[in-house]
Amino acid sequence: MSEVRRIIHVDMDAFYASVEQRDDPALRGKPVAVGGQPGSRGVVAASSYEARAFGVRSAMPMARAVRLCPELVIVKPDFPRYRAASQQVLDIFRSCTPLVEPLSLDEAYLDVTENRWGEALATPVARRLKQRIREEVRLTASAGVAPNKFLAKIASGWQKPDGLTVISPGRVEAFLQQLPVGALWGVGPVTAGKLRKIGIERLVEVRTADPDALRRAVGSLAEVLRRLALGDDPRPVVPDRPYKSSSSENTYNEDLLALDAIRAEIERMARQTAAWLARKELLARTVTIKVRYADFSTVTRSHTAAAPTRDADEIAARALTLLERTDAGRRPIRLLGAGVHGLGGDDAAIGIPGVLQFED
Amino acid sequence: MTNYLLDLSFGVKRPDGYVSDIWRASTTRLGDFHLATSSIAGVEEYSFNKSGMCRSAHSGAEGAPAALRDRSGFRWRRAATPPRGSGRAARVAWIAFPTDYLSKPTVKDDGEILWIAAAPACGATYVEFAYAAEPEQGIRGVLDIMQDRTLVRCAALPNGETLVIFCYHADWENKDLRVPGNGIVADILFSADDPLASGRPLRHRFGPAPKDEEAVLLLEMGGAAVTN
Repeated sequence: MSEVRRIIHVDMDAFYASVEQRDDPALRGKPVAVGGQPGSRGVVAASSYEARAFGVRSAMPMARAVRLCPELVIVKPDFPRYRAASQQVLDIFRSCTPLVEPLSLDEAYLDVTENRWGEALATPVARRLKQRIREEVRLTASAGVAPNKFLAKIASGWQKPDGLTVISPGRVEAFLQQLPVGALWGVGPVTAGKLRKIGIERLVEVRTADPDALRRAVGSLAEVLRRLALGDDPRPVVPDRPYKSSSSENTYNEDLLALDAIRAEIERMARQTAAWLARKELLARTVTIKVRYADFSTVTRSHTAAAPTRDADEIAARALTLLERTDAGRRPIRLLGAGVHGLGGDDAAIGIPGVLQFED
Repeated sequence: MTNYLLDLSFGVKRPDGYVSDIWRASTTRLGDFHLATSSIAGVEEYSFNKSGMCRSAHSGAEGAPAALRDRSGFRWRRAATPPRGSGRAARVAWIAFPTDYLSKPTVKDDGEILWIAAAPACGATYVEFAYAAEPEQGIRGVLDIMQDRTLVRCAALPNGETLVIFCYHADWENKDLRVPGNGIVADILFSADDPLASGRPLRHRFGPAPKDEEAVLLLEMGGAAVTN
């Protein structure tokens, strides 16, 4: 027996694209993609539901999106406007509960077990939140209601757009039985592939998996998966969650081949990250770089030091050393990234949005 | 002297008087536990033998369709009771009563029924049954800490274990469910909106067959016959 918690995960529907369609009536009903231009190797940051009907998805190269949907209207991102809308939504959330954990501009967890609106249950709260977002921000959101964060997050994606999915305690098991391991947050295609290799396709199959084989396949994630397979996720909703990582990456208009240019880019990004650490008064133990070659194959390299640091020279030097363990200078590169994690010694139990999800 | 250590009739009731079916929870002096309710299909009973073996059955009732009369259901073995001092209990059955699917009462309340207050709209009242090796005082202590659960009743069993009945309110997603009658009988519509203003006279329980170590999970909803 565990205490019933009432958690809501709210996910704005096609957020950036919806803000654009809200503010420009000419875009309504049209396939819209927010992102860079195809000629400059731009990627899709968000797509409207009309564009999704053509197969246009986030993180897709814009050139491919245009091939899929020749009528696609491409809009340059306007983050100040997205942040303003996000703030309005957060204000609505905080009028209900102080336990709001934003994950990004367009999604957040709320713990409404006790709330300022005096609602005993989360479902009426979720309905009111959705209604207020529609009326006050003129956008739609999908919500998941469940006894914990893991289930609420998956539930919010169950019926999109403008959906509301409630996982009552008696429905948790039936819900878990349906989930492929790849649906889990923190399980990317590579990890899902490793799990499939040991015969695990669905999350519930983790329950009966050989513990040693599971650990060999996914390392420390094994214990987290075992808990989640039982529907158990005790993580609290943490307002103002401390930072877990910082990273930046860049896709280049022209492939980079000259090693000097590549080193300069990595050093620039590493120093930028160190400056962020200094501003936030944080220290990091792990430095990571990411390299995507012209053929889209991607490698990541990490180095963890015993002592945390925010020294720009040290972080840049470690990033450049990591670069030596790649084919930089020998193969053309389309994307570079550098970042830090392991901040303040507080590591994430499972993937935290905002963290660059590196997978070798 | 009564033959039962516990003999409780209970139901779930909304402030406007809408109710669930009436359930009876009883434990014999030998330590067997029975959970039963009456319905159009007769008496639906779940028996938890002191040996740990469990079975479900429908037993005869006037007017019940022949296919549903005197029918043995499932057999399974319940989860073992956790050891004393563990602070845990083995759930053996739980029933969800969605508030917006309760029914207009058709049976007169004889005053012997324990009515459990229904969850607010868009919610469900869960009534759970569990075995614990802890004494009643320890169980009350655990439930007091949990706050969201209310102890309905405890019954000390001859083997030193305790049968615990508790309830709580949780969220529920209201969705229409239409069970087809395949042209033989009318369809039954389970709807929170009750578009026919029927009062949902037909109450029915849904749930998967439990496997060994699993608890019986039942969802009780009220509906109405619809012809088109």
